[in-house]
Amino acid sequence: MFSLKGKEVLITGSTRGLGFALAKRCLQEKASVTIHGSKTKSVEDALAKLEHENAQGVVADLREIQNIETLFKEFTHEQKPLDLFINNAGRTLTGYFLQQETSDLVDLLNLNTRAPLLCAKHALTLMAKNKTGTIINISSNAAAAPMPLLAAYSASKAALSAFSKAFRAECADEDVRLFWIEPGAIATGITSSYTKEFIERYDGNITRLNPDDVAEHIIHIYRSDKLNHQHVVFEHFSATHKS
Amino acid sequence: MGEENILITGAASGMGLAIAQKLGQKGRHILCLDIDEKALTQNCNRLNETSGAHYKPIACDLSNTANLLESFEEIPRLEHLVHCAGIALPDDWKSTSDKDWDELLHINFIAACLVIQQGAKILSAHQGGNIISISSAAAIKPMPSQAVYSAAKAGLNALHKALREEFRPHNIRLTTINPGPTKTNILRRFSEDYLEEFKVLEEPRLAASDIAAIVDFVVASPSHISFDDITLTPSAWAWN
Ligand SMILES: NC(=O)c1ccc[n+]([C@@H]2O[C@H](COP(=O)([O-])OP(=O)(O)OC[C@H]3O[C@@H](n4cnc5c(N)ncnc54)[C@H](OP(=O)(O)O)[C@@H]3O)[C@@H](O)[C@H]2O)c1
Repeated sequence: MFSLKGKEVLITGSTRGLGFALAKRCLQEKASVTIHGSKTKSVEDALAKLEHENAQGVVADLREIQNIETLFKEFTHEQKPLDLFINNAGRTLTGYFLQQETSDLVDLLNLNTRAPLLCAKHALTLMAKNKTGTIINISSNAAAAPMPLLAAYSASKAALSAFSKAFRAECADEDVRLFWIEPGAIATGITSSYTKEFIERYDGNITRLNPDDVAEHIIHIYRSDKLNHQHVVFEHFSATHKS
Repeated sequence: MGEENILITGAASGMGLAIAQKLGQKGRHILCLDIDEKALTQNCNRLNETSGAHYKPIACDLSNTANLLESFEEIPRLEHLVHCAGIALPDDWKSTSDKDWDELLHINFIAACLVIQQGAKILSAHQGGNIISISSAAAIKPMPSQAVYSAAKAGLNALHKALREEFRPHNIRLTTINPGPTKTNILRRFSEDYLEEFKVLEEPRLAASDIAAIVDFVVASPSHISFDDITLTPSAWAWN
């Protein structure tokens, strides 16, 4: 079994939602956890909520390319290793693609695709030095089944999943594990931005997973050493995708 | 059908040029967009003399979003959009910079999404038509040391799939074409060793005209048929 005890963990977008649930879970496993968000306030609030001596925070708006380097520089300034990196920060964009603003599309694709790809590259660079480590990419089940009214988001996650599939071999050459997760809807704040058309299109009753359950599942996968997961797709058992 | 207006991106060379040539039938207006203004103008001049269609160059750097949007603002009408512009770089993590990855993602994915959106706005303002994107076999089978390129192409294919329902009422058909190794200049930024290792130069490869023939076929096909996704590879590749 892989243990998280004493491990150095960095989770992007962990001030709330799934990232926060993962941070809590890793702290329970006695890891040292660096949480991250785009705003000082949200990082401070999350640290106050965690109230744990093994938790620290870093701020970086990952839509900007130069902040990706900053994130890893800040993480490594104490010369600590990186044992587990979770690419979790992301946003959504629902509604008619034809009506979406250019700046929203560019922001979405930079945050959901460019940032995790470059973060994975930086994480692997650190892990390759020690010939050990794990990278987990949080994609979405919209990657495998691209959804109407969620087109750019689906595309951003399909890109992340395809990247993971190919990059996994490059990680393996350095004895680094990589797997990616494609969950269905999770009950987090991300769903508050859903547009009316989107909610109507999906029947108004999207069944959402509990973020703590998803975090539990991911940590379970992390710990297994015999079963080598490539990727895991799951959704709430009552979820119905009209398509 | 009356006059047809067709926009081809990446039309100065390779597949884009082959497509521009193949679609050059009498009465058509073909807008050829590319960053390489010189080659574009030369090709348009030559094609205007040798074919029945009317070719017009649009010099545009798709990696510059403002430039991209301006270029589309000047297009009054379209029946078909063939998005072919794209680049390739080696993208293994060890020998490439963040900037290389950004360039690759920006042109092949982000700009592509914006081209589809801007093109679809023009198509939907009239009677609809075809959006055909030249993706890659790497979208279907992501390749190591081409992880970023594969990601961009897989993202583009997912976008087409997700848009089919939204675009149906606008009579827009969406097609992705996924070629395997094709003889063009796209590999000029790769080293000899790299190309050797990944066997991309093994002959016979596909020819740009092979892809042009498929585009021609899709454009000419009756509107009740949608060619969603066409993958073509050199037979000798025998992949799975
Ligand atoms: N919720 C779902 O239904 C669902 C389903 C499948 C997959 N996912 C994926 O799971 C991941 C987590 O989603 P979630 O639902 O937990 O989201 P969430 O509750 O909205 O949390 C988003 C997190 O990302 C951070 N973030 C937002 N914009 C950022 C930026 N520009 N730069 C850096 N960080 C930024 C936020 O930090 P600040 O607080 O500082 O802004 C926050 O910590 C995402 O990748 C999402 O796509 C979610």
